[in-house]
This record gives sequence, C-alpha cells and structure tokens, in this order.
Amino acid sequence: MKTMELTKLIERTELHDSSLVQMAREGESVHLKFENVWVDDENCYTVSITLGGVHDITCDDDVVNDLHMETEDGGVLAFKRSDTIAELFITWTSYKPRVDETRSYKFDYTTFNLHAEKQK
Amino acid sequence: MSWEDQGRQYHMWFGHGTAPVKAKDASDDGIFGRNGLAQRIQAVAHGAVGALPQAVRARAAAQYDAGNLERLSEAMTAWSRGTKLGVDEFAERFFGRTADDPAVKQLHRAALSVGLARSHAELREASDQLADAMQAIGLDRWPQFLADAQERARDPATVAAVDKSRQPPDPGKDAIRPVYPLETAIRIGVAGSAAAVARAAGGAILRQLLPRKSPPVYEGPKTIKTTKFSLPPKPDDLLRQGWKEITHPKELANGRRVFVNPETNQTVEFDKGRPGEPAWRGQDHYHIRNPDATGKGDKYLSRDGLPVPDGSKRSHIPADR
Repeated sequence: MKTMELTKLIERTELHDSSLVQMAREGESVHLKFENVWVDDENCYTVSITLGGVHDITCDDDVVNDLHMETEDGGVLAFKRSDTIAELFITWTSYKPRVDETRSYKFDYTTFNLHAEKQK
Repeated sequence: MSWEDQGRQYHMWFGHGTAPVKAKDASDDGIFGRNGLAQRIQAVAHGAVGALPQAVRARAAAQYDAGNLERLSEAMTAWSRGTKLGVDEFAERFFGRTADDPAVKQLHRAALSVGLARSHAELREASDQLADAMQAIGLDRWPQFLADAQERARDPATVAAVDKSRQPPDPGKDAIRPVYPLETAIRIGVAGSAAAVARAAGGAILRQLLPRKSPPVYEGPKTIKTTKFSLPPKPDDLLRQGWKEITHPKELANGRRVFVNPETNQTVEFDKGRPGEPAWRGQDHYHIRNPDATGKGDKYLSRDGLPVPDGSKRSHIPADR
C-alpha cells in the first residue's frame, strides 16, 4: 500500500480505540504517538504524528501552556483534523481505584506529518 | 447444479458430489469410523471454503494458513463432543450466545453432522452449514470469533460439563420412577372429558418426571469474571434493563455512550460505527471496562470475562445478535 493511501486510511479510522503513549510539546511542535491503530482485521500500526507551527493549544477550552500526559494511559476516542485545527478526544485512565476521565484537546497548527510503522 | 459446477474445488473429500455414497469402511480406522473425527473435521473445514462464494474463498483459505485451521479443528472437535449438551447450554458455553442465534444454529448442526457423518454427502452438508455460519459471523470477524470459541472450548467448566454430558446415565440415580400416584390420575379422569384429562394428566406427570431445567451455572476459575449480561444491538435497551447512562458530552459527540449497572457497578462503553469507515470505526461495538484493572494490560474484559489489554482485538465486542 502506498504511504499516502495508508495515511488516509489511518486518518479515516480517526485512530479510534488506539492508545496514546506520548504527548509532548517542543517549541512550536507537538508530538503524538499512538499504538494499536487497527486499519482492518489483520493490520495494526504504531503511528507518530507531528503537528508543526502550533501556536495555540486548549484542553476543554482552557489554554494549555505545558502539555503533558495526564496519566500513562490514554484511550483515544478520536483524532480528527481540518486544515488548521486538529482535535484529540481522549479518555485518561488511572487505576486502583479505576477512574476514567474524558478530555478534548484542540491544536491550532500549520503543518502535519504522519508516520506509521507496522506494529508487531 | 452440482457443487463442482458452482466452482468449488475438487479435492476428493466428497467423492463426486453427485449422490450420497455410503462409506464402505465404517471401521475404527476409516474417515467414517469411530476414530475418524479429526479427518472428518479437516474435510469439512476445507469443504467449507469451497462452499463459500468464489469472491471470498481465497481470503478464507488465507485465514486457514494464518492459524485458523488449527483453531477451527480444535474448536470443532469440542463442539462435536459437546452436542449432548442441551442446545441452550451448547450455545451459551461455546459461544456466549443464545440458541436462536443463526450462526450458533448452523454450528450446532455442523457439529452434529460431522460427528455422525457416514458419507461424503453428509460431510458436504456439514461443510455447507459451516460456511453458512462463517458468513453469518462475517469473514472479518471469523478469526476472532474462532479464537474466542477456542478459548471457551478450553474453559475447564465447559470441558467438565461436556464430559458430564457424555457419561452414561447412572441407573441408580437417573432412572425415571413413577412419582405420580395412579389413583390421582384416575380421579382427574373422572372429573373431565377424556381428551382434556389425558392432556392434563399427561402434562402433570411429565412435569413431575422430567427434571426441572436449571439455568447453566458458571463454574470457571475465580480469576475469570462473569459477564453474562446482554450487549444489545441498540444500547437504549440497556436502559430498559436497568443500566444508567453516564456518557460524557464529548464522548457522545464522538459516537460513544457509557453505561453503568447500578447493581454490579459494571461499566460498558458502546461505540457507534459509521458504515463505510475502516476497522472498528465502521462497526458498532462494545467495550467492557475491567473494574479491577491494574493497568493497560488488563484494562478491559473480553466477552468471556477475561482481562484483555487496551487496544486488543478482544477488547472490541460486537453486539449480541
């Protein structure tokens, strides 16, 4: 499958039910890494997304200055984007006792890069 | 049209496919002998691929290469041994489904057929039934369905129940004894018309003679949780069953609804699929949250109640049919 086709296919899944394993900000770049991105019954990918030119991040409509993982476990409900806005809907889970909290992040960006690797 | 004319491959498994041919060899060694079950299952498994529509045969064959054939052989051996369970218990134990489920009906028939087959024509019938079940489940879901079925078949409680069902009745314990006094039947006979009395007395006697059917009791290891509630195709039905909805607005906006059972505190997530979209985004499915989870590795429960990792196939559960 061509890289472009794979990228589109992955985006069409909205990365639904994947696991967010990294969320970091570096200057104007935001790095997101997802595991368990299934594109069909057989094929699963690890997906790294870099958003460039990010100048505004909000979480549940509050401005975020210091982006960090809220727990080590983020279950992705959806990642979707338009030309300038990317949105991440995620449920953070902490354990003992189990607590699940849903958050949404909005990134105002200018460049988008997606890299996928087959997950073993 | 013969099965060969339908485009199925000819592998000598089913003779010429023109007429039922009774096996000449019904000894212990032949395919139709007492020790031939494994051979019959292999034949049925391959025959089922041939019975599928041509467009999907290659895909089904590839699934066999990826380990499905072994899984199917193991599971089908267990199903065949389990046909002495009642059909309700068969459906529940092996598939976690009800007996009226179309796929379960076909698999039950296939299991009976492969166990009893004494001719190639009967094997072909079993293949057709298996192929129907594969299509009812859907080829996309078939590998996962088989993996689940294999695990269920290995469940010690299921193995024990199957073994018990195959034991000959204990004459001292299980014999039917006349428990309905004859004079009572005579009194009923005097009171009503002959036919009505016969029906009433017969029914009463039968009710006393037949053991009362009790619901299957889950006897698995304690590490396995019981998740024997229904996951209906329409999540609103959960509300009618007493579940409470605790969906976050952001979840609702993304097609997810979350329900908690106030009696058990069990929580399930329902994700609405969007037809045409890939992977699980395109299919309605549930997740069962593991209340005792310790991390990502056991975040959810499978339909069997086994802890499963976040993002695993088994954490995605299609709605019950």
